[in-house]
Amino acid sequence: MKIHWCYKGIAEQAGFSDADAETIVTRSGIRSNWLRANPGLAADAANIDAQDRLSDAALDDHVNAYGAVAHDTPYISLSAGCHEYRNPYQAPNPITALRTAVGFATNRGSTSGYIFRCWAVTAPQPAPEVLGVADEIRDINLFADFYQYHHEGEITAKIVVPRRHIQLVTKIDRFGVPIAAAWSNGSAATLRNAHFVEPSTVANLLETI
Amino acid sequence: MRLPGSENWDDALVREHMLFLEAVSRSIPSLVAEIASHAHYAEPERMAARPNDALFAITEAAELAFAIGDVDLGLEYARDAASRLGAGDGQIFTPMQALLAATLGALANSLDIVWDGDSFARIVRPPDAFARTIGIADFTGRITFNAPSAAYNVALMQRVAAAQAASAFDRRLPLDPDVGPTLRFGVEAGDAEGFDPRRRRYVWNAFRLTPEGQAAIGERMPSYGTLARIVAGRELHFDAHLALGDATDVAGPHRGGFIDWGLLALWTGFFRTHPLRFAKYRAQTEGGSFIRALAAAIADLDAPEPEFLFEGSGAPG
Repeated sequence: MKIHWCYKGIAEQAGFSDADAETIVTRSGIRSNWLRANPGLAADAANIDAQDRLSDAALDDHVNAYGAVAHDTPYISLSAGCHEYRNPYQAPNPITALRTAVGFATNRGSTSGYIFRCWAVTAPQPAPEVLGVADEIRDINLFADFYQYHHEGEITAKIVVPRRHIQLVTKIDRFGVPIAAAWSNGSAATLRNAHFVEPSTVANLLETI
Repeated sequence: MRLPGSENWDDALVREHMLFLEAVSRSIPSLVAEIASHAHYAEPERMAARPNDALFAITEAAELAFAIGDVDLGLEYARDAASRLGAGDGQIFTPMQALLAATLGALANSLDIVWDGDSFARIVRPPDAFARTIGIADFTGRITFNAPSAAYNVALMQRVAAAQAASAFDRRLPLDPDVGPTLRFGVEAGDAEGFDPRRRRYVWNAFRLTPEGQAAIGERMPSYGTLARIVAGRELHFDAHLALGDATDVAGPHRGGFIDWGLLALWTGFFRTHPLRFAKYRAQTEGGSFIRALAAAIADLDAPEPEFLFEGSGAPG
Protein backbone atom coordinates (compact mmCIF):
# COMPACT_ATOMS: atom_id res chain seq x y z
CA MET A 1 0.00 0.00 0.00
CA LYS A 2 1.02 3.58 -0.49
CA ILE A 3 -0.24 6.66 1.28
CA HIS A 4 -0.67 9.82 -0.79
CA TRP A 5 -1.20 13.37 0.22
CA CYS A 6 -3.80 14.78 -2.16
CA TYR A 7 -5.66 17.97 -2.89
CA LYS A 8 -9.28 18.36 -3.88
CA GLY A 9 -10.63 21.59 -5.33
CA ILE A 10 -14.33 22.45 -5.18
CA ALA A 11 -15.73 25.69 -6.57
CA GLU A 12 -17.91 28.00 -4.49
CA GLN A 13 -21.33 28.03 -6.10
CA ALA A 14 -25.00 27.98 -5.36
CA GLY A 15 -25.34 25.00 -3.07
CA PHE A 16 -21.72 24.94 -1.98
CA SER A 17 -20.67 27.66 0.43
CA ASP A 18 -18.33 28.12 3.38
CA ALA A 19 -20.77 26.18 5.56
CA ASP A 20 -20.78 23.25 3.16
CA ALA A 21 -16.97 23.21 3.04
CA GLU A 22 -16.91 23.21 6.82
CA THR A 23 -19.40 20.35 6.93
CA ILE A 24 -17.05 18.27 4.79
CA VAL A 25 -14.20 18.79 7.23
CA THR A 26 -16.14 18.44 10.46
CA ARG A 27 -18.89 15.97 9.61
CA SER A 28 -19.39 14.24 6.30
CA GLY A 29 -16.01 13.93 4.64
CA ILE A 30 -15.88 14.29 0.86
CA ARG A 31 -18.83 12.31 -0.43
CA SER A 32 -19.02 10.77 -3.87
CA ASN A 33 -21.81 11.93 -6.15
CA TRP A 34 -23.40 8.52 -5.72
CA LEU A 35 -23.61 9.07 -1.98
CA ARG A 36 -25.01 12.56 -2.44
CA ALA A 37 -27.56 11.29 -4.96
CA ASN A 38 -28.84 8.69 -2.50
CA PRO A 39 -29.28 10.62 0.72
CA GLY A 40 -32.11 8.59 2.11
CA LEU A 41 -30.77 5.11 1.52
CA ALA A 42 -30.83 2.91 4.60
CA ALA A 43 -27.39 1.94 5.85
CA ASP A 44 -27.78 -1.74 4.98
CA ALA A 45 -28.98 -0.97 1.48
CA ALA A 46 -26.29 1.66 0.99
CA ASN A 47 -23.62 -0.80 2.06
CA ILE A 48 -24.74 -3.30 -0.55
CA ASP A 49 -25.43 -0.84 -3.33
CA ALA A 50 -22.19 1.04 -2.86
CA GLN A 51 -20.12 -2.08 -3.25
CA ASP A 52 -22.15 -3.13 -6.27
CA ARG A 53 -21.34 0.13 -7.98
CA LEU A 54 -17.56 -0.35 -7.93
CA SER A 55 -16.19 -1.99 -11.04
CA ASP A 56 -13.62 -1.72 -13.83
CA ALA A 57 -16.23 -0.24 -16.13
CA ALA A 58 -17.44 2.26 -13.56
CA LEU A 59 -13.92 3.49 -12.93
CA ASP A 60 -13.29 3.73 -16.66
CA ASP A 61 -16.45 5.81 -17.04
CA HIS A 62 -15.45 8.05 -14.14
CA VAL A 63 -12.03 8.80 -15.59
CA ASN A 64 -12.65 8.74 -19.34
CA ALA A 65 -16.32 9.76 -19.61
CA TYR A 66 -17.03 11.73 -16.48
CA GLY A 67 -19.81 13.77 -18.04
CA ALA A 68 -21.87 10.66 -18.61
CA VAL A 69 -21.69 9.44 -15.01
CA ALA A 70 -21.14 12.64 -13.06
CA HIS A 71 -24.58 12.55 -11.42
CA ASP A 72 -23.95 9.37 -9.45
CA THR A 73 -20.39 8.16 -9.84
CA PRO A 74 -19.20 6.29 -6.75
CA TYR A 75 -15.65 7.56 -7.24
CA ILE A 76 -14.05 10.80 -6.06
CA SER A 77 -11.27 12.50 -7.97
CA LEU A 78 -8.33 13.79 -5.96
CA SER A 79 -5.04 15.06 -7.31
CA ALA A 80 -1.54 14.17 -6.23
CA GLY A 81 0.15 15.88 -9.21
CA CYS A 82 2.15 14.25 -11.96
CA HIS A 83 4.94 14.58 -14.46
CA GLU A 84 3.82 14.60 -18.07
CA TYR A 85 6.28 12.84 -20.36
CA ARG A 86 6.54 14.29 -23.84
CA ASN A 87 9.49 13.01 -25.79
CA PRO A 88 13.06 11.87 -25.20
CA TYR A 89 14.48 15.38 -25.43
CA GLN A 90 12.17 17.28 -23.16
CA ALA A 91 12.24 17.06 -19.41
CA PRO A 92 8.94 15.75 -18.08
CA ASN A 93 6.56 18.60 -17.46
CA PRO A 94 5.46 18.79 -13.82
CA ILE A 95 1.85 19.65 -13.14
CA THR A 96 1.37 20.06 -9.43
CA ALA A 97 -1.58 18.80 -7.47
CA LEU A 98 -2.13 22.25 -6.09
CA ARG A 99 -2.39 23.81 -9.54
CA THR A 100 -4.90 21.20 -10.63
CA ALA A 101 -6.91 21.70 -7.45
CA VAL A 102 -6.86 25.48 -7.88
CA GLY A 103 -8.08 25.01 -11.44
CA PHE A 104 -11.07 22.97 -10.26
CA ALA A 105 -11.72 25.19 -7.25
CA THR A 106 -11.84 28.35 -9.32
CA ASN A 107 -13.24 26.98 -12.57
CA ARG A 108 -9.96 28.14 -14.06
CA GLY A 109 -9.95 31.61 -12.66
CA SER A 110 -13.62 32.46 -12.74
CA THR A 111 -14.84 31.95 -9.16
CA SER A 112 -13.68 31.55 -5.58
CA GLY A 113 -13.43 28.06 -4.13
CA TYR A 114 -12.00 25.65 -1.62
CA ILE A 115 -8.87 23.52 -1.45
CA PHE A 116 -9.01 20.41 0.73
CA ARG A 117 -5.84 18.63 1.83
CA CYS A 118 -6.31 14.97 2.60
CA TRP A 119 -4.63 11.61 2.40
CA ALA A 120 -5.60 8.40 0.70
CA VAL A 121 -4.26 4.85 0.81
CA THR A 122 -3.77 3.41 -2.67
CA ALA A 123 -3.41 -0.15 -3.81
CA PRO A 124 -0.18 -1.13 -5.58
CA GLN A 125 -2.25 -2.70 -8.35
CA PRO A 126 -5.53 -1.75 -10.02
CA ALA A 127 -8.33 -2.37 -7.55
CA PRO A 128 -11.39 -0.53 -8.84
CA GLU A 129 -13.82 -2.90 -7.08
CA VAL A 130 -12.14 -2.85 -3.70
CA LEU A 131 -13.71 -0.56 -1.17
CA GLY A 132 -11.27 0.91 1.31
CA VAL A 133 -8.36 1.65 -0.98
CA ALA A 134 -8.00 4.34 -3.62
CA ASP A 135 -6.58 3.81 -7.11
CA GLU A 136 -3.51 5.65 -8.36
CA ILE A 137 -4.89 6.56 -11.76
CA ARG A 138 -1.92 8.81 -12.48
CA ASP A 139 0.34 5.76 -12.65
CA ILE A 140 0.06 4.80 -16.31
CA ASN A 141 2.01 1.65 -15.61
CA LEU A 142 -1.13 0.54 -13.78
CA PHE A 143 -3.82 2.37 -15.73
CA ALA A 144 -2.46 2.55 -19.25
CA ASP A 145 -5.88 3.27 -20.78
CA PHE A 146 -6.48 6.27 -18.56
CA TYR A 147 -4.02 8.63 -20.17
CA GLN A 148 -6.31 11.30 -21.56
CA TYR A 149 -6.47 13.21 -18.29
CA HIS A 150 -3.14 12.03 -16.97
CA HIS A 151 -2.11 15.63 -16.45
CA GLU A 152 -4.62 15.89 -13.60
CA GLY A 153 -2.49 13.51 -11.51
CA GLU A 154 -5.56 11.69 -10.32
CA ILE A 155 -5.95 9.54 -7.25
CA THR A 156 -9.45 8.08 -7.21
CA ALA A 157 -11.09 7.48 -3.87
CA LYS A 158 -14.27 5.49 -3.44
CA ILE A 159 -17.67 6.36 -1.97
CA VAL A 160 -16.28 8.81 0.61
CA VAL A 161 -13.03 10.40 1.75
CA PRO A 162 -13.46 10.09 5.53
CA ARG A 163 -13.26 13.32 7.45
CA ARG A 164 -10.44 11.86 9.58
CA HIS A 165 -8.34 11.93 6.39
CA ILE A 166 -8.99 15.60 5.72
CA GLN A 167 -6.43 17.84 7.34
CA LEU A 168 -7.73 21.25 6.36
CA VAL A 169 -9.64 23.38 3.91
CA THR A 170 -8.43 26.72 2.57
CA LYS A 171 -10.68 29.22 0.85
CA ILE A 172 -9.17 30.99 -2.17
CA ASP A 173 -10.24 33.75 -4.48
CA ARG A 174 -10.48 33.23 -8.22
CA PHE A 175 -6.75 33.85 -8.59
CA GLY A 176 -5.81 31.22 -6.00
CA VAL A 177 -4.98 33.66 -3.21
CA PRO A 178 -6.12 32.61 0.28
CA ILE A 179 -9.03 34.74 1.50
CA ALA A 180 -11.09 35.02 4.65
CA ALA A 181 -14.01 32.65 5.03
CA ALA A 182 -16.98 32.50 7.33
CA TRP A 183 -16.15 29.43 9.40
CA SER A 184 -18.11 28.85 12.57
CA ASN A 185 -15.01 29.50 14.66
CA GLY A 186 -13.59 32.50 12.86
CA SER A 187 -12.75 34.08 9.55
CA ALA A 188 -9.26 32.77 8.74
CA ALA A 189 -8.61 31.45 5.25
CA THR A 190 -7.86 27.98 6.54
CA LEU A 191 -9.99 25.75 8.72
CA ARG A 192 -8.07 22.94 10.37
CA ASN A 193 -9.77 19.70 11.22
CA ALA A 194 -9.47 19.17 14.97
CA HIS A 195 -10.20 15.47 14.53
CA PHE A 196 -7.75 14.85 11.72
CA VAL A 197 -5.72 11.64 12.04
CA GLU A 198 -2.17 11.67 10.74
CA PRO A 199 -1.44 9.29 7.86
CA SER A 200 1.53 8.02 9.84
CA THR A 201 -1.09 6.10 11.81
CA VAL A 202 -1.39 3.64 8.95
CA ALA A 203 2.25 3.68 7.84
CA ASN A 204 4.29 0.52 8.20
CA LEU A 205 7.19 2.00 10.16
CA LEU A 206 6.68 0.77 13.69
CA GLU A 207 8.15 2.05 16.92
CA THR A 208 9.66 -0.25 19.50
CA ILE A 209 7.61 -1.44 22.40
CA MET B 1 4.43 32.07 -36.86
CA ARG B 2 2.41 29.54 -34.88
CA LEU B 3 3.15 26.17 -33.43
CA PRO B 4 2.24 23.62 -36.11
CA GLY B 5 -1.04 22.03 -35.13
CA SER B 6 -2.25 25.03 -33.19
CA GLU B 7 -4.13 26.56 -36.10
CA ASN B 8 -7.50 25.50 -34.69
CA TRP B 9 -6.87 26.80 -31.22
CA ASP B 10 -9.30 29.34 -29.90
CA ASP B 11 -6.85 32.11 -29.08
CA ALA B 12 -9.28 33.82 -26.74
CA LEU B 13 -9.37 30.65 -24.64
CA VAL B 14 -5.62 30.31 -24.86
CA ARG B 15 -5.12 33.86 -23.61
CA GLU B 16 -7.64 33.22 -20.85
CA HIS B 17 -5.65 30.16 -19.84
CA MET B 18 -2.42 32.14 -19.91
CA LEU B 19 -3.94 34.62 -17.48
CA PHE B 20 -5.00 31.75 -15.24
CA LEU B 21 -1.49 30.30 -15.30
CA GLU B 22 0.03 33.70 -14.57
CA ALA B 23 -2.38 34.18 -11.65
CA VAL B 24 -1.58 30.72 -10.28
CA SER B 25 2.14 31.31 -10.58
CA ARG B 26 1.76 34.39 -8.39
CA SER B 27 -0.70 32.98 -5.87
CA ILE B 28 0.84 29.55 -5.32
CA PRO B 29 3.65 30.72 -3.00
CA SER B 30 1.17 32.37 -0.65
CA LEU B 31 -1.18 29.41 -0.90
CA VAL B 32 1.64 26.97 -0.13
CA ALA B 33 2.70 29.12 2.81
CA GLU B 34 -0.86 29.27 4.08
CA ILE B 35 -1.39 25.53 3.84
CA ALA B 36 2.08 24.66 5.15
CA SER B 37 1.56 26.78 8.24
CA HIS B 38 -1.46 24.63 9.10
CA ALA B 39 -0.11 21.30 7.89
CA HIS B 40 1.86 20.07 10.84
CA TYR B 41 2.62 16.73 9.26
CA ALA B 42 4.49 18.31 6.36
CA GLU B 43 7.05 20.83 7.42
CA PRO B 44 6.87 24.14 5.53
CA GLU B 45 10.44 23.67 4.31
CA ARG B 46 9.55 20.34 2.72
CA MET B 47 6.56 21.80 0.96
CA ALA B 48 8.56 24.75 -0.32
CA ALA B 49 11.10 22.41 -1.89
CA ARG B 50 8.53 20.58 -3.96
CA PRO B 51 7.73 21.37 -7.57
CA ASN B 52 6.15 24.74 -7.34
CA ASP B 53 3.95 26.48 -9.83
CA ALA B 54 5.63 29.78 -9.12
CA LEU B 55 7.92 28.54 -11.87
CA PHE B 56 6.08 25.88 -13.83
CA ALA B 57 2.80 27.69 -14.40
CA ILE B 58 4.52 30.81 -15.71
CA THR B 59 6.68 28.59 -17.92
CA GLU B 60 3.55 27.10 -19.45
CA ALA B 61 2.16 30.57 -19.99
CA ALA B 62 5.34 31.40 -21.92
CA GLU B 63 4.90 28.25 -23.98
CA LEU B 64 1.37 29.21 -24.91
CA ALA B 65 2.38 32.74 -25.85
CA PHE B 66 5.15 31.46 -28.11
CA ALA B 67 2.82 28.82 -29.54
CA ILE B 68 0.34 31.43 -30.76
CA GLY B 69 3.12 33.65 -32.07
CA ASP B 70 3.05 36.35 -29.40
CA VAL B 71 6.82 36.52 -28.98
CA ASP B 72 6.84 39.69 -26.88
CA LEU B 73 4.41 38.23 -24.37
CA GLY B 74 6.34 34.96 -24.33
CA LEU B 75 9.54 36.82 -23.51
CA GLU B 76 7.73 38.79 -20.84
CA TYR B 77 6.67 35.52 -19.22
CA ALA B 78 10.19 34.15 -19.69
CA ARG B 79 11.67 37.13 -17.85
CA ASP B 80 9.05 36.62 -15.18
CA ALA B 81 10.05 32.96 -14.81
CA ALA B 82 13.72 33.89 -14.49
CA SER B 83 12.92 36.53 -11.92
CA ARG B 84 11.61 33.79 -9.63
CA LEU B 85 15.23 32.78 -9.01
CA GLY B 86 15.61 35.87 -6.92
CA ALA B 87 12.09 36.29 -5.69
CA GLY B 88 13.01 35.66 -2.05
CA ASP B 89 9.64 34.10 -1.26
CA GLY B 90 11.07 30.96 0.27
CA GLN B 91 11.07 29.09 -3.00
CA ILE B 92 13.73 26.42 -3.08
CA PHE B 93 14.81 25.42 -6.56
CA THR B 94 16.24 22.06 -7.43
CA PRO B 95 19.14 22.27 -9.93
CA MET B 96 16.77 21.26 -12.74
CA GLN B 97 14.25 23.90 -11.78
CA ALA B 98 16.97 26.52 -11.56
CA LEU B 99 18.10 25.52 -15.03
CA LEU B 100 14.61 25.79 -16.42
CA ALA B 101 14.32 29.30 -15.02
CA ALA B 102 17.80 30.08 -16.29
CA THR B 103 16.97 28.82 -19.77
CA LEU B 104 14.01 31.15 -19.97
CA GLY B 105 16.11 33.95 -18.53
CA ALA B 106 18.77 33.32 -21.12
CA LEU B 107 16.19 33.46 -23.89
CA ALA B 108 14.95 36.77 -22.53
CA ASN B 109 18.45 38.11 -21.96
CA SER B 110 17.89 38.61 -18.27
CA LEU B 111 20.28 35.93 -17.07
CA ASP B 112 23.54 34.54 -18.26
CA ILE B 113 25.11 31.14 -17.91
CA VAL B 114 28.84 30.91 -18.38
CA TRP B 115 31.41 28.22 -18.55
CA ASP B 116 34.36 29.02 -16.38
CA GLY B 117 37.59 27.54 -15.25
CA ASP B 118 36.59 26.52 -11.74
CA SER B 119 33.15 25.07 -12.03
CA PHE B 120 31.23 23.64 -14.92
CA ALA B 121 28.81 26.48 -15.31
CA ARG B 122 27.26 29.25 -13.31
CA ILE B 123 24.06 31.17 -13.58
CA VAL B 124 24.76 34.83 -13.06
CA ARG B 125 23.06 38.02 -13.97
CA PRO B 126 24.52 40.31 -16.56
CA PRO B 127 26.62 43.21 -15.36
CA ASP B 128 24.66 46.31 -14.58
CA ALA B 129 26.39 48.12 -17.41
CA PHE B 130 24.40 45.98 -19.76
CA ALA B 131 21.17 47.19 -18.22
CA ARG B 132 19.63 43.94 -19.28
CA THR B 133 18.66 42.93 -15.80
CA ILE B 134 14.93 42.98 -15.72
CA GLY B 135 13.12 41.94 -12.60
CA ILE B 136 16.04 40.20 -10.96
CA ALA B 137 17.61 43.07 -9.10
CA ASP B 138 17.62 41.05 -5.91
CA PHE B 139 19.33 38.08 -7.44
CA THR B 140 22.86 38.55 -6.21
CA GLY B 141 23.85 34.96 -5.73
CA ARG B 142 25.25 32.56 -8.23
CA ILE B 143 24.13 29.06 -8.82
CA THR B 144 27.09 26.87 -9.60
CA PHE B 145 27.07 23.50 -11.26
CA ASN B 146 30.13 21.36 -10.90
CA ALA B 147 31.06 18.52 -13.16
CA PRO B 148 31.40 15.63 -13.07
CA SER B 149 30.32 15.37 -9.47
CA ALA B 150 26.91 16.99 -9.87
CA ALA B 151 23.83 14.86 -9.46
CA TYR B 152 22.16 13.46 -12.57
CA ASN B 153 25.00 14.64 -14.72
CA VAL B 154 24.06 13.95 -18.29
CA ALA B 155 20.53 15.30 -18.10
CA LEU B 156 21.71 18.28 -16.11
CA MET B 157 24.60 19.11 -18.39
CA GLN B 158 22.51 18.86 -21.52
CA ARG B 159 20.29 21.54 -20.12
CA VAL B 160 23.21 23.63 -18.96
CA ALA B 161 24.59 23.57 -22.47
CA ALA B 162 21.33 24.63 -24.06
CA ALA B 163 20.71 27.41 -21.56
CA GLN B 164 24.25 28.60 -21.85
CA ALA B 165 24.14 28.67 -25.63
CA ALA B 166 21.19 31.04 -25.62
CA SER B 167 22.83 33.27 -23.07
CA ALA B 168 25.74 34.07 -25.33
CA PHE B 169 24.19 37.36 -26.21
CA ASP B 170 27.36 39.28 -26.59
CA ARG B 171 30.53 37.29 -26.76
CA ARG B 172 32.83 40.28 -26.92
CA LEU B 173 32.24 41.61 -23.45
CA PRO B 174 33.42 40.19 -20.17
CA LEU B 175 30.52 39.15 -18.04
CA ASP B 176 31.61 39.77 -14.53
CA PRO B 177 35.10 40.50 -13.28
CA ASP B 178 34.61 38.11 -10.38
CA VAL B 179 33.95 35.20 -12.64
CA GLY B 180 37.35 35.39 -14.23
CA PRO B 181 38.05 34.18 -17.71
CA THR B 182 34.84 32.97 -19.17
CA LEU B 183 34.13 30.84 -22.16
CA ARG B 184 30.82 31.94 -23.46
CA PHE B 185 29.86 29.25 -25.88
CA GLY B 186 30.03 25.53 -25.60
CA VAL B 187 31.86 25.08 -28.85
CA GLU B 188 34.63 27.38 -27.81
CA ALA B 189 34.63 25.83 -24.36
CA GLY B 190 35.03 22.40 -25.81
CA ASP B 191 37.97 23.39 -27.91
CA ALA B 192 39.67 25.72 -25.48
CA GLU B 193 43.23 24.99 -24.53
CA GLY B 194 43.42 23.32 -21.20
CA PHE B 195 39.74 22.51 -21.07
CA ASP B 196 39.34 19.52 -18.82
CA PRO B 197 38.73 16.46 -21.04
CA ARG B 198 36.09 15.22 -18.65
CA ARG B 199 34.26 18.46 -19.08
CA ARG B 200 34.66 18.26 -22.84
CA ARG B 201 32.80 14.98 -22.67
CA TYR B 202 29.84 16.73 -21.11
CA VAL B 203 29.90 19.57 -23.56
CA TRP B 204 30.01 17.21 -26.48
CA ASN B 205 27.35 14.93 -25.10
CA ALA B 206 25.20 17.91 -24.33
CA PHE B 207 25.19 18.89 -27.96
CA ARG B 208 24.73 15.40 -29.29
CA LEU B 209 21.34 15.38 -27.62
CA THR B 210 20.52 11.91 -28.80
CA PRO B 211 19.30 8.93 -26.85
CA GLU B 212 22.71 7.45 -27.49
CA GLY B 213 24.29 10.55 -26.03
CA GLN B 214 27.11 8.87 -24.24
CA ALA B 215 28.95 7.91 -27.38
CA ALA B 216 32.68 7.88 -27.85
CA ILE B 217 34.23 11.29 -27.54
CA GLY B 218 36.40 12.76 -30.21
CA GLU B 219 39.48 14.80 -29.54
CA ARG B 220 37.84 18.00 -30.58
CA MET B 221 34.38 19.48 -30.67
CA PRO B 222 32.47 19.13 -33.92
CA SER B 223 32.43 21.88 -36.48
CA TYR B 224 29.58 24.35 -36.56
CA GLY B 225 28.16 22.52 -39.53
CA THR B 226 28.21 19.20 -37.76
CA LEU B 227 26.73 20.84 -34.73
CA ALA B 228 23.88 22.34 -36.73
CA ARG B 229 23.13 18.98 -38.35
CA ILE B 230 23.14 17.24 -34.99
CA VAL B 231 20.73 19.75 -33.54
CA ALA B 232 18.61 19.58 -36.68
CA GLY B 233 18.25 15.87 -35.99
CA ARG B 234 16.55 16.78 -32.79
CA GLU B 235 14.02 18.76 -34.80
CA LEU B 236 12.82 15.55 -36.39
CA HIS B 237 11.82 14.24 -32.99
CA PHE B 238 10.25 17.57 -32.08
CA ASP B 239 8.28 17.56 -35.32
CA ALA B 240 7.21 13.94 -34.85
CA HIS B 241 6.06 14.78 -31.37
CA LEU B 242 3.96 17.63 -32.74
CA ALA B 243 2.61 15.47 -35.53
CA LEU B 244 1.32 12.98 -32.98
CA GLY B 245 -0.98 15.77 -32.00
CA ASP B 246 -1.21 14.94 -28.33
CA ALA B 247 -0.46 18.51 -27.39
CA THR B 248 -2.04 20.38 -30.21
CA ASP B 249 -5.28 18.78 -31.24
CA VAL B 250 -7.49 20.57 -28.79
CA ALA B 251 -9.06 24.00 -29.00
CA GLY B 252 -7.62 25.20 -25.73
CA PRO B 253 -4.63 23.33 -24.36
CA HIS B 254 -4.61 22.90 -20.61
CA ARG B 255 -1.14 21.52 -20.25
CA GLY B 256 2.26 22.49 -21.45
CA GLY B 257 5.35 20.65 -22.47
CA PHE B 258 5.05 21.22 -26.18
CA ILE B 259 7.91 23.68 -26.60
CA ASP B 260 11.32 22.01 -26.57
CA TRP B 261 13.12 24.63 -24.52
CA GLY B 262 16.52 23.11 -25.11
CA LEU B 263 16.08 23.11 -28.86
CA LEU B 264 14.78 26.66 -28.82
CA ALA B 265 17.68 27.77 -26.65
CA LEU B 266 20.24 26.17 -28.92
CA TRP B 267 18.89 27.81 -32.06
CA THR B 268 18.55 31.13 -30.29
CA GLY B 269 22.16 30.82 -29.23
CA PHE B 270 23.26 29.94 -32.73
CA PHE B 271 21.42 32.91 -34.21
CA ARG B 272 22.77 35.24 -31.58
CA THR B 273 26.33 34.26 -32.26
CA HIS B 274 26.71 33.20 -35.87
CA PRO B 275 23.40 33.80 -37.62
CA LEU B 276 24.63 33.47 -41.15
CA ARG B 277 26.84 30.53 -40.41
CA PHE B 278 23.93 28.56 -39.02
CA ALA B 279 21.26 29.90 -41.33
CA LYS B 280 22.52 27.92 -44.27
CA TYR B 281 21.50 24.65 -42.62
CA ARG B 282 17.87 24.61 -43.52
CA ALA B 283 14.97 23.20 -41.58
CA GLN B 284 13.38 20.14 -43.09
CA THR B 285 10.19 20.01 -41.09
CA GLU B 286 7.35 22.25 -40.00
CA GLY B 287 8.37 21.83 -36.41
CA GLY B 288 11.94 22.74 -37.25
CA SER B 289 10.83 25.78 -39.21
CA PHE B 290 8.70 26.94 -36.33
CA ILE B 291 11.39 26.56 -33.72
CA ARG B 292 13.95 28.35 -35.92
CA ALA B 293 11.57 31.18 -36.76
CA LEU B 294 10.82 31.58 -33.08
CA ALA B 295 14.50 31.51 -32.23
CA ALA B 296 15.20 34.10 -34.91
CA ALA B 297 12.49 36.34 -33.53
CA ILE B 298 13.83 35.97 -30.01
CA ALA B 299 17.33 36.69 -31.24
CA ASP B 300 15.85 39.74 -32.92
CA LEU B 301 17.51 38.50 -36.03
CA ASP B 302 17.31 40.91 -38.85
CA ALA B 303 18.17 38.30 -41.39
CA PRO B 304 18.99 39.70 -44.80
CA GLU B 305 17.37 36.73 -46.42
CA PRO B 306 14.86 35.36 -43.98
CA GLU B 307 13.50 32.90 -46.49
CA PHE B 308 16.93 31.34 -46.44
CA LEU B 309 16.19 29.99 -42.99
CA PHE B 310 13.20 27.95 -43.91
CA GLU B 311 12.26 25.57 -46.62
CA GLY B 312 10.37 22.37 -47.09
CA SER B 313 6.81 22.97 -46.05
CA GLY B 314 7.19 26.69 -46.41
CA ALA B 315 8.10 29.54 -44.17
CA PRO B 316 5.88 30.11 -41.18
CA GLY B 317 3.50 32.97 -41.64
